[in-house]
Amino acid sequence: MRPLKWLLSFGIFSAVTIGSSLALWGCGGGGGGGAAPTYSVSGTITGLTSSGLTLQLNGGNDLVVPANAMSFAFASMLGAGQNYAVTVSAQPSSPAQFCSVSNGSGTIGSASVTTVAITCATPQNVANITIDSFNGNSAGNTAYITIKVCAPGTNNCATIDHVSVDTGSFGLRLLSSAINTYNATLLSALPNVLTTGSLLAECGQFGSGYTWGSVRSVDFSVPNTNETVSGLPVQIVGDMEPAPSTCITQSVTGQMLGPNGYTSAANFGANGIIGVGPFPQDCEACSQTAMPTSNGTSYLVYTTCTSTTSSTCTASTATLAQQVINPVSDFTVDNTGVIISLPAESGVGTATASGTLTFGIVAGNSANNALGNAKVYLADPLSANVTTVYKSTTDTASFIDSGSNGLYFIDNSITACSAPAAGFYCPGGNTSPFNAGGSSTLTESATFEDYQGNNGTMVNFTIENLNLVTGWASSGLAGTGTANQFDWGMPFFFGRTVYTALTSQPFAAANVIGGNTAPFYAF
Amino acid sequence: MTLSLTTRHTKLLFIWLGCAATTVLGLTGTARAELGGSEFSVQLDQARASGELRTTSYATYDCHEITTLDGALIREFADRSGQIFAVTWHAHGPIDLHQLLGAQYEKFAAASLEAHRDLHHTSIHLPDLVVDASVIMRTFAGRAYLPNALPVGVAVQELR
Repeated sequence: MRPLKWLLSFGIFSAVTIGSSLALWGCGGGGGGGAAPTYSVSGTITGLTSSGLTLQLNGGNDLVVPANAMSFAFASMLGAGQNYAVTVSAQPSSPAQFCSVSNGSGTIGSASVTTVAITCATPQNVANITIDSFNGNSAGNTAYITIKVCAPGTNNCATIDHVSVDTGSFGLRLLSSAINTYNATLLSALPNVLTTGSLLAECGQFGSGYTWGSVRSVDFSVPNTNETVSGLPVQIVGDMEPAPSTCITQSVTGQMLGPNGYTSAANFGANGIIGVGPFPQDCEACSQTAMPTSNGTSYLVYTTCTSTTSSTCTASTATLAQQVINPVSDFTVDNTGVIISLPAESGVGTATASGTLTFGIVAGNSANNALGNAKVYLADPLSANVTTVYKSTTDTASFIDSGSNGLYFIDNSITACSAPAAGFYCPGGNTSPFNAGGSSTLTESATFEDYQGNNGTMVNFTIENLNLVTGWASSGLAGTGTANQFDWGMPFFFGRTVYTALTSQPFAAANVIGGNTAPFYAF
Repeated sequence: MTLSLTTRHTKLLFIWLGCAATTVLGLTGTARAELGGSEFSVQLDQARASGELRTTSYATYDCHEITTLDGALIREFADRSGQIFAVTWHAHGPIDLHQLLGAQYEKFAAASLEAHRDLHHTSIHLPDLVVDASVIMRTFAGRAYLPNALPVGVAVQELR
């Protein structure tokens, strides 16, 4: 009896155990949280042509998907009743694509999930940014893109590389010499913008000089995107030399730049500037008055000329439609701002870097130009300034600017560089090996706030001794600024995605994105 | 003047402590005093009345602040002998540096040809003259001072 009973007991036990297992595999029913993970999550992929896509299941279980894949399946299993969520943790990057997920979340029922759908597309609103030496012409930390201009309505075009992306100005300005280099017959085919029958020209002011030249109309496009503007007014720089004396004397340096100035790539540092800052026009007041005043003194912006000789030019109003305009604000869509995304950089820097300039800013998460989780900092509606608190100093006229090659702010406690680099900071001194005091690198922080001094975020940054900066892309470039300004230049962009939302055309309804009224920055 | 501009100016008065307004001397025009010159010249130009002159006294210097209706804000710092040893500016359009820098202008102009420059900045740092100027389209700002003429105990950071 005993042996039999033992055998019987053993047999029953075994049968029950096996039966339970079979039941779980067979139907998995109703067990709830205690059920073993037996169901897979998989789905289809359409449109994926490049590599780098990484999917996650419930915030982990990274799945790297190869180029051209048409399906995917996570190796990890889930049990009945468990929630699942498929998300994109990294978008395809070479070349850039944007993938979105549908049917991506729910609760596991009584079968594997096979209906998750990943849809990928190559965005038509992204230009590639290159940071390089531009044959030694770069001032350092200059973000370049390639643009295309054509004589309106024709195929007479030039594709021009090394156009500097500048969120500190508005409008496209191209060196006449650069246009001639790429297409010797184009410039003469670009029609002048006319005002009362005469040629419109402009004196544009920048921090180290001026842009002087005619305003002409082009068909503008950004290669490899859908972004186009027909009949865009742009400034041709250097086609009417010399500049009027007023334009010269009112410039910062007050000098005729001539052959060494903004008429050559060598001193312009670029073949052109694409001003994509937070406003559409460079001089709204010029639509009302020929010469606005600053500190009580009239200054020259737009002029009307009876010939291509500057001496025939007189100060003139220019309607908003005639003025050189931020091309982004003239896009049919993607016209609410720009997003600059650059990889992290060291202070010493690298010879080249690449990133993206994405056009348009939209609310939500479902597009490659969506604000997503970026934090928004509203800017002053008139100046686009924000506030920065640095070492107890509140700089109310601060801003983010891709056209500034460094961070510019006042701090006399940081060792200044000696000539010829005066104006930059040199922590560690000016004598090799540039580590006086123990280090050639200084780490600082400041609080970035909106224009009303709220919503602050601590931002860390490093200052590298300029003598040790060897790359054309460096996160450590910094120099002396001016009172009440903290200029968050290019080093700020490295390792970040930075949104610059632009105001709408004057007198139109404001651009409001996700409840935030432009101008604003987000990162 | 829009509401936002008013708000901003209110903010400036509270936050730009480098030269808080205490005395309103009356309307004046373009700032005509110049770096290295006499503070008496601050009040010389009354011809084009387009702003206000306010003066604040500190332990070792006076700060004369001129705001004009076109949005320019000029500050001139004068030591006890009356010499202007620093100027700062912030405006929506170009600032006439010939006038503001006065006799120092030629030195600045010459040095600027060799200076560090990028699209939005010109800085010159000479032993006896420092100028940091920036132009972000729509905002023209800068500061200039005479390092050898700073009153004892004055930190450059104060000159805002």
